[in-house]
Amino acid sequence: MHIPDGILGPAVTLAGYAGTAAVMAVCLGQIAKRDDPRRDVPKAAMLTAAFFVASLVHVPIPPTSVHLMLNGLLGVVLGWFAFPAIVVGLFFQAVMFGHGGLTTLGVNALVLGLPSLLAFALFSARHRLLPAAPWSDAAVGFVAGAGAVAAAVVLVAVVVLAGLPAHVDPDLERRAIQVFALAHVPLMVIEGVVVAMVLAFLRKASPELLLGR
Amino acid sequence: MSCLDLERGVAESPLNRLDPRFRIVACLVLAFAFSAVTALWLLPLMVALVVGLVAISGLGPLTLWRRLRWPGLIVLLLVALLPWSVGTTAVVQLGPLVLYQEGLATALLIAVRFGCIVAVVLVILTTIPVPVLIHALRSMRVPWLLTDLALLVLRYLHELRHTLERMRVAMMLRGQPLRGASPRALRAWAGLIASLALRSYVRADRIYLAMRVRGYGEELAPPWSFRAGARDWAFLASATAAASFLVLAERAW
Repeated sequence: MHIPDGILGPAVTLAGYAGTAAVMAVCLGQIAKRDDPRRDVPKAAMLTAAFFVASLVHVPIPPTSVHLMLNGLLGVVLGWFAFPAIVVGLFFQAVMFGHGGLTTLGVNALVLGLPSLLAFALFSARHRLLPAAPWSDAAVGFVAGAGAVAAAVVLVAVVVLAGLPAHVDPDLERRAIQVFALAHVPLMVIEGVVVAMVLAFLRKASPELLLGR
Repeated sequence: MSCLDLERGVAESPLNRLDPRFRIVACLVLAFAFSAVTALWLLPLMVALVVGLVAISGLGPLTLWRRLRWPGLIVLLLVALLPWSVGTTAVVQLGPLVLYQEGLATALLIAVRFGCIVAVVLVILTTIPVPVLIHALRSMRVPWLLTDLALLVLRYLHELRHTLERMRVAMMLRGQPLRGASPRALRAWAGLIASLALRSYVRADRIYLAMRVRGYGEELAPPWSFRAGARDWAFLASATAAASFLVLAERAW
């Protein structure tokens, strides 16, 4: 889910770059506190590439197909690396594949990256919120996956409508946001279920992957 | 390896011989200036500027069309809906539908700005080989973590794409469904994603050790050294002048 070039004016897009720089500084600061920050770079890169590839695949759901966003899963698995990973992924999509945009790179990074960091925060706090059990990981995984998509959808709708170079009637604006959000409900549910299942699988097969953040 | 499969003539174009750092800055300056335009009379100037750049780049119209063909759902939706839903000055009424002048102008503005920015990125940035682009960003003081991450993601992207494809075929041969939104199909997709993540995670440690052996983390001479000449400065000055003209004209008139 990207906002393409041409829709938003420079006030919004430059603010997006400034916001992304601020969030990036926080993430890089957290990563720099580790004993050997370089050690985690290949792990983050491999997982970024894996999720990037997986998010490009269209899941056939007749009569149409959807592609997963996986920003919630990225946050849960990569932690502070999620935001830099999203920026790198968006940069490649804009420059290599022509998806998204260059002027909107900052806004898109915030739209996808902030929900991703929220998913990370939620997953990190899961044992304070719920008893430690496989079902609680799955429940938090569902909320993190579906919630990250929902947050991104609402942010995209609000930013696009607020940034349009024309005055839009507030009633029409509200209805458009509702329709856009409702159209994405199936994707939110599917993404939530898939993230919950992925986390259940990883918890069994390689729990250190969920702890090594 | 370039972001585009370079056509004959593109690699030898004067644009492609410029310093990548200057091309990155010029591209950003032009793209942001285009995004600032709201006056319809400036649109033909923007288009003329882009046509000039395309002509210098040596990119064929087919390549450009292939990239512009799928403008993204949001742009298509806005261009299709805005003329019928935004504005107060009616141009045409077709039954219950009213075509508004303001909506039509906004849709035209968005479509032209989108096309021009995509074309500028395509012509100036996408023709730079990706590793060179990343090293140019590094020399412009983009944090090492971002450039290292970008290089490694690039290195393993295609490989993991093939791995995922092989895993999909294997799952289909085993009779696991990858179609529909049934719990079985979603479980199969989740298994596929988790397996790919696990394989990547396990492999990452070996990659790190191999990188350390090759000197990762030590100060090494950069593989590309960039040196700006008069042509690079002239190109950047021209791009900045064109961008400044658009922004100032927008405010003045």
